[in-house]
Amino acid sequence: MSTKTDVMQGTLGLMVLKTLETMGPLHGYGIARRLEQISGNLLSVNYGTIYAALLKLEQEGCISSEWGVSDNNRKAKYYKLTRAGRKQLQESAREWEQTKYILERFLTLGEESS
Amino acid sequence: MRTLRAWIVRLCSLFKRKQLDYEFGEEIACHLAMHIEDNLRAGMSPEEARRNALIKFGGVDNIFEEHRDRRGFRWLAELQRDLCYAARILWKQKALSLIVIGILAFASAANTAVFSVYNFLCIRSFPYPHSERLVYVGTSGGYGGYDSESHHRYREENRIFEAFGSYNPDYRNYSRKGEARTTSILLVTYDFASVFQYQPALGRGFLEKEEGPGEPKVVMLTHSFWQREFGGSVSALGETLKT
Repeated sequence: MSTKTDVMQGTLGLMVLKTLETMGPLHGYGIARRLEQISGNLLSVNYGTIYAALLKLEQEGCISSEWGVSDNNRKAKYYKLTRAGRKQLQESAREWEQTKYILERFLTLGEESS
Repeated sequence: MRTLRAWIVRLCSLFKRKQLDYEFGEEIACHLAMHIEDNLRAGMSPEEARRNALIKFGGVDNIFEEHRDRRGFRWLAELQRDLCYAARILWKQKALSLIVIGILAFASAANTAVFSVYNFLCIRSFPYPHSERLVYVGTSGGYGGYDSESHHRYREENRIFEAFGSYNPDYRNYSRKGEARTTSILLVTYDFASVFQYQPALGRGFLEKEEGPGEPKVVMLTHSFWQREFGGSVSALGETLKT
């Protein structure tokens, strides 16, 4: 499988939230690298698009940001999950589980009947 | 709730655009620096490391513009800019601006004046109950005059109006305290008052039989006449006025 999948609308935010949950406070670059890594390089995300998702999440109060210093002693803006973000993450994850479940059933049923 | 919060944050961002622009610029610079560093560590040449970081980031200008749009409201920011521009131009061309503002002020004042006259004459309602149901009925030329006989006929055949009264403006000379004067009067049918649904402040309205020939004429005084000639006294009731 060599073709990369474009990120579906709305899923990027969920991935960012999950990344922040597992990794703790992280800067935009770190989040982008992590997404690429986890997806096994299957996702084609311009690193820049992460920032639009981060901005939206921050406006909604799901994450907060703060300037800090990176491991390499470099200034960077760190994002971290807020309590509202944690709740949002749980909700979205549940919704996705449900969607996945429905689609799976749908597709396997389709296979059986054909 | 989250959407509302986002809207408020976006509105607030309008007032610190420069600072937020600067911050995001810094953030992008940090991002690229970190990426280039990583690329160098992975063995790329400085030139290649930089190029790769920029490509992976995806058009810096586009991302910046998109960020700015999402941060606030584009239309609001543009409106703000346009208003500032308009104000600056107006200030620069003071004389012209003053003339234009003067003309506009004059035009709207004239408009208001014309409207108030029109309102007074045509739109404003009479100070009677249900004045919107009052209509004026007249005869057009060629049918001769309108006398009491035709009024009786109209009244008899009236199926349209709730009440139907006629009036005829006229003048009369009258004398009081040995002095003769002229006053304008309105000759009316007995039901004239019922059209307007008004009651005299003192005394009574006209009776139907008072309309008949040979009956003594009855007058109803206007408030100003009553004040002037009778000093607003109750004794005016039942007095005789010679005309």
